[in-house]
Amino acid sequence: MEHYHFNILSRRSFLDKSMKTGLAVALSTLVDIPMVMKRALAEGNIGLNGKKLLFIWLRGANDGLNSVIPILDPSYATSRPALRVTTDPAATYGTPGPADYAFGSATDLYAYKMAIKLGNGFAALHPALKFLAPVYNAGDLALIHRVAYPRQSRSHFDSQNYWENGNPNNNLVKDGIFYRTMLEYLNDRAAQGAPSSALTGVSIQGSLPLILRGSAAPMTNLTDPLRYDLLGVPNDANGNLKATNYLNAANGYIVPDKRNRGLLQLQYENLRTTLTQFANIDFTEAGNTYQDGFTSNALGDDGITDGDTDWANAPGHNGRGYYLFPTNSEKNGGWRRPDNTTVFAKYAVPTSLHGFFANLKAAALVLNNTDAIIAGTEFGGFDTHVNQQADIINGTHPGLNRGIGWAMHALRKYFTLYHNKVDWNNEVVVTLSEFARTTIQNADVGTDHAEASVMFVAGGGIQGYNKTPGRSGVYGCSPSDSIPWVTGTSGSMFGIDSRYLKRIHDFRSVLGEIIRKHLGASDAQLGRIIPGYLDEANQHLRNGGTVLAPTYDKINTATKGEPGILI
Amino acid sequence: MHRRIMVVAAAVAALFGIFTFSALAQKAPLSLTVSNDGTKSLRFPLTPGLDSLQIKTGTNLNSLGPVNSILVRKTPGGYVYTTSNQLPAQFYSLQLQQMSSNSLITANLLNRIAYGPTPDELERLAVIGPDAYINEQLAPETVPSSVDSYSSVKTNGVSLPPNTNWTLVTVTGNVSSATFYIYLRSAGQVNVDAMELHWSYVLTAITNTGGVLTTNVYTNYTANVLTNGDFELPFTTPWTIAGTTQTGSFRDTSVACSGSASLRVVATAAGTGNGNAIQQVVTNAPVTARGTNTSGQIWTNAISGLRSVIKFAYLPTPTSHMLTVRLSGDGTVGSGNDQPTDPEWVYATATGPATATPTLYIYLNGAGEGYIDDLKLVAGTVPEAGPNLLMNGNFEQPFGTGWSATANFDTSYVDNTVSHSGSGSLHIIAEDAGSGSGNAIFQTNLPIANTQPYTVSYWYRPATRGRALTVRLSGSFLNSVPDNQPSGIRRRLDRADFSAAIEDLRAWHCNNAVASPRQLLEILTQFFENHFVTQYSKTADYFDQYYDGLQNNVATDLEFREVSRWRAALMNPNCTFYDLLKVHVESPAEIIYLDTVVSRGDGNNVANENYGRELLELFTMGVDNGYDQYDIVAMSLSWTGWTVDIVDRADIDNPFALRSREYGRYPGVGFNAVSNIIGVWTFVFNNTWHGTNRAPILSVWDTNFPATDPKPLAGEAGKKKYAARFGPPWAGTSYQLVIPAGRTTPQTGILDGYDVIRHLSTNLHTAEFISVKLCQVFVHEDFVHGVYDYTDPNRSREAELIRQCILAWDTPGPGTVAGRGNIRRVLRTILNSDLFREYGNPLQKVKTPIEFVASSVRALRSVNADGSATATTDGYSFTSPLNRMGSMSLFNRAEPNGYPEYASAWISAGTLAERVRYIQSLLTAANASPARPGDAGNNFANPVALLQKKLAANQLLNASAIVDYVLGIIFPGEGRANLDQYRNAAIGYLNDGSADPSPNSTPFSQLSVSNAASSAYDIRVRGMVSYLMTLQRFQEQ
Repeated sequence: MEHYHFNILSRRSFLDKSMKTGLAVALSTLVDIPMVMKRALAEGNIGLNGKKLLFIWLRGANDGLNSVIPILDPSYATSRPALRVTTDPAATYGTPGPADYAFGSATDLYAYKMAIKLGNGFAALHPALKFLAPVYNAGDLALIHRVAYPRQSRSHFDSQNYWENGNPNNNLVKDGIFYRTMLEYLNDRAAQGAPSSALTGVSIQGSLPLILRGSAAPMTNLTDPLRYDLLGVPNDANGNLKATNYLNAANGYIVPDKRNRGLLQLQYENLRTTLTQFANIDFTEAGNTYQDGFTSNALGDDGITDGDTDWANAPGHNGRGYYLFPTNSEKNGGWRRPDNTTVFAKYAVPTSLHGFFANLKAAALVLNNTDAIIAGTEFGGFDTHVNQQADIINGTHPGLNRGIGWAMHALRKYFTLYHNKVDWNNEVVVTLSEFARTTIQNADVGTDHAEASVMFVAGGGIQGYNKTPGRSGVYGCSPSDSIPWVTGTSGSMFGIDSRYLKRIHDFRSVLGEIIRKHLGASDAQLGRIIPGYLDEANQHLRNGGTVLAPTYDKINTATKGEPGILI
Repeated sequence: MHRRIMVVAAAVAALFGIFTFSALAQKAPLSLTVSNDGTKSLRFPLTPGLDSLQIKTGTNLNSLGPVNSILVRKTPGGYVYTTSNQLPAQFYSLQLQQMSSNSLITANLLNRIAYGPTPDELERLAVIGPDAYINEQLAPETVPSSVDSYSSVKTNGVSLPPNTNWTLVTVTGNVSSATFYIYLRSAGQVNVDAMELHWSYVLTAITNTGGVLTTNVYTNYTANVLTNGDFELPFTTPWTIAGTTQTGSFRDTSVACSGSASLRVVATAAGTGNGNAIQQVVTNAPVTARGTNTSGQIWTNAISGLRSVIKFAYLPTPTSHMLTVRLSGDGTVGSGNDQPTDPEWVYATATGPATATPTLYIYLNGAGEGYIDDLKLVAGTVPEAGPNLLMNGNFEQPFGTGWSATANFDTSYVDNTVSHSGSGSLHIIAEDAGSGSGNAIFQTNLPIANTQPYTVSYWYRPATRGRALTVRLSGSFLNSVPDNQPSGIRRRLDRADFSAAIEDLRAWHCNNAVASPRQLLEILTQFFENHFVTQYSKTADYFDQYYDGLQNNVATDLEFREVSRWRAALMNPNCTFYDLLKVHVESPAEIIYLDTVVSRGDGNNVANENYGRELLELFTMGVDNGYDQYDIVAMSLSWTGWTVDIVDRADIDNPFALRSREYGRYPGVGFNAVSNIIGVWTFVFNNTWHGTNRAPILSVWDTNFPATDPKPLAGEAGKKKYAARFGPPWAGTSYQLVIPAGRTTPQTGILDGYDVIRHLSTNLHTAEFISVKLCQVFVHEDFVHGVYDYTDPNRSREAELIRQCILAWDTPGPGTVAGRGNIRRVLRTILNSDLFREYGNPLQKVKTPIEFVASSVRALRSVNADGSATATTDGYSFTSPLNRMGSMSLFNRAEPNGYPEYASAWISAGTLAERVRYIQSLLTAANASPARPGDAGNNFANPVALLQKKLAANQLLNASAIVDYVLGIIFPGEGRANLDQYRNAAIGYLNDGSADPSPNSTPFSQLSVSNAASSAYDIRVRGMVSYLMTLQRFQEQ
């Protein structure tokens, strides 16, 4: 079904008018709002509780089984003879405890090449995800396994559409979950006659992704944040100032009201405001100075320097650790060692990820320094059909894992050490990926399109490892789960067609919990943001239950509902 | 007619009254209030299109005097005139003068049915009036347009013996097995010669020496692996003739492409390949290997991308297009071509001044070949008028007479086998790109004079695909690059030989938007292209399995053909919506885009619903407007078998045509390269895929049956009927569609689809939905479908306009489907409506990105006598701005709902930053610094040149006169009084020297008039125009 937001559009143009003509007029005009548009009070807290969301789209379908590994399921090793991660004889994977990651040698950031023990007595991390360990041990990370949706599509195009528009098996919904979330915020503000933020949802990538797209309110995409300024008269700096001053002054010029003049007025004011906001953010490479803290800081010893004292002794970098956003070789770890040697394994992330980290940095900076509520970017290359793990650390998929691990680690440090408008405790970072990859490796030593995968969710408010005693940060990857992980050749890994991991979590439940508990949407709002959320009797998105075939699923499927990653 | 409103209020202290302006479209209260502070205030609202206002006051109604205008304040709530209440009883009069209705409608028309006003068009419409413009634009066939015209002839002035007409074919494709076949797919004869087969592959060799891995990647292209492919040896092993139909074939020593013999393929009936062809088993393809070499090193050869390249020559005959040359299995396939036609010659001219050292250059922009003939250079601006100043310009004499060549062109020669006239032409052979001086074919010491105008003219035979020909005089003021100009772009698109890419199509489309005199046609082209959305990149992906590198050009061709057919339909006065919908359903791009291409309804196949759903939801009736899921299922079956195939060009409109080129037996699955030679992809109807067992469409359905097997209720109860909201005579009448049974032949099965679109295009829901979309484009955004109650006496003005449109739609007349859905009749209804013509209508819409960019060039565009203009574009420079302003990728919309018309979809702080930057770049590009690269690309504007053309010389230092002129051309629909703040600011900007090259306080009136880029005058004028065009008001249309 196509969604047309006539009422919402009307509300918005009402908002525009009230913004323009001042509160007195707005209040007097309130009387004339048709009943259907009336909403006396804000319904939720989106945008008002200081909470923000950062998303990372892992496009191409991440191999969840080689990220969060069911290491004690014997089928894992046998299904993937050339792709598996081996176990560490010294580790006790069956015993609950913190993520057990090894420092490795003094010269190699990723010396440890075996499965990293996780805290739930069953699962393990890929060693290339090593930098998730400190986030995990702080209790700030939820690793949610077996995530998919009913009647899973194995087409990239369709499945990305569904994840973004929040309507599985419906390609006709042309607006996205996060867009609708922001629309609820804007409507709340409009209902109160209160001004809304100039920036609400922001993506930093080629073009605005569907998840932020919609026709009733504009979201912002920045292909390049460095373009976000005006040119003026390019004669000298005076010229720019002159043009901008005249432009800004004209925002106050008075003309008769017409359709869209309110919107233009609002967005020109937004432009003026955000230009100022962006002008205060240094998006340039020179401004990328964010570094890890001392290894002995309050966050605990996170092992970032990896025992590499050479780094600590590098000129001008004493003990400051690595740059958080590796956007070039200089800022990507071991490059700056005194002997100036380049050892690939000492890079924090593969050099091919510099572009992604530039976008991630911009997204983080926008969230931290503006009033934007949701920001994100995408991370491509996960479609690993061929030769996916030629090298346990530097192969294709391990390289991608390194990007994920470092991103989470860096964001935690960034929002802790450099927080401005939002700190780590008010931040949630979530990854999306359209489906997983086959349990069994293919003839090309890669994996093909499958179903349920892993979502990574991080943030100071996440109820992860040991936040309450005995708690694990792994959701959905243990035989002791309420919907247990069944091991063996007829187990969970082969739940569908003997090749595909079967879901117990619906991605809509994960996003729903975040939007409801973290961002502060009301139940009614969530019902509009994620259609089906109020259809608990059939879809069980909130509390879980069995989703029945054929109405909603292909086979009867027991699901968890919201995973419970937030209080 | 000027609207002039006068309200007279007799007011005394403490009088409070409200007066209405009955003459205005909207009611405007006038009030007089007295405050406790001893003042009284006269208030009246802001008024659209207001040119001037005047308040007069006095104690005698017959002798009122104007008040001090400084005391009249403009506020968001309206005007306020405040004065002391201590005066005796006073009369007040308020005069509001709105702009003339002609000016208002002119401004609105140029913003809505054109891509924005131009200075020239504003002047023209002031003379002819807006209604004449409407009549003219509604009949584009009456408006001459030479924007993209070109002339060409197919001729070869030299008659040649047939033996020299050997046609060379090269095809690339994959290899699945390695037997080589030659056969005809029908009875016939053809000579073939010079056959070659090459392997082409990438080799990765990894060696392991003492634990050190070394990887080497080689690209290999082997020598010819066929034996006796030139047929110079007796026709024996390894050639064999399998089967019975090609057994008459023999080695023919009477004719040869090379050497002394060729192979005459003689077929008594169709060959098929294995077991029925002339064949040869070829040396096996290279294989993957691994092992240990002599030094004990472990090595592996991993071969990827094994392809083969087949080359052959054949002598065209009436059956030569049935020739197939291919590898066994799913391997590479080559075909013969249509019989060659005479060379196509294109005429080009250009005019420009000479320089002091006159040399004429001819070159290509890359390696390739081409022909040129009848090259003339004459004095003056008229082509071919006067003596030819070039020696041997007709190339009847050898190359050395008059001509020289350097570097990359030294193998060019006068070719006596091809000519436009006479017995020869210049065969240009470029080994690499030319550049003019030192790298071109040239003739020097021409008898021409410095700075005088000259005109070059010539016929040329288009060069190698992707190569552009340049003919120019030294100094480049006379510069002819015909392939990259609008006419050349159009020619390459028309030619459909895949020499045009998507960038060319976009450039053509955008050039038309800026320069075409048929502006409404351009607006409608964009509207229907966007309404009937298809996606270039999805088409390209589809053809990726058949082409090595040409799939993008094939996809471009399909987009161009689609848009050309809509334009052709719209040029017909009787064009109905059915005609446009028919183009859409027959478009290969659409068939691929919405998956009809693989939709089958035969046997146990379930028809793909994608097209059925979008046809109802997005292209005809509108979402939730008179249909349901059951209708979609029932209707999807009608579209099964609608697929695409490659046919002879003559069959482009024949859906029953046979495939003209072999491209492997598993289309859609394998990796079989289609012959790189011509053929045309078009809609074909595959009756064996067509499902015929269907329920009537637009029925009331029996819910006891599943949606996968819909069955209507019996009798009248099973027919969908128009809802009561449509009112008489329609409400309650059935619009069910029953498709006749027994359509089992191709010629009848195809009618199912046509029945559906004929029915849908006259359905009232379609009339409503399309009218709503048109009103959203031409009037304002807030029209909706599916909800208006046309029987409600208090229906909104919007509902009433849609009702009028539906009435116009449902009126019979000449044309298809009894003339219902006549596009011009509906448009005329809209353009003549009060909603369109009222004072509040202009400037209440926001430009989409293409409207914004096109209107920015047009705003300052005045065309000179020689075709140059004060603002112009190359068309290609729209792509980047359109992407930046919100990912408007023309011809490549991913979602089937098309780009939105809502302002809120396009206007955000982020996109506004791009719009502002674009304008700033457009107008200050001359001064752009390297650190601020030109966002506007090759879109240019020269506002000083425009002012010099349009204003008297003594006004060029008058800031007020200049600002008034600029305001008049860029905001013609606003009204002077509403622009007073903009005017003052713009005058202030001109007088503000703070951003001059040397900041100063020199007022504008003391500058030197100059359009030199670094002059203060130019900087200030460009800055002021840029300033006005970056404002909110320029976002409006």
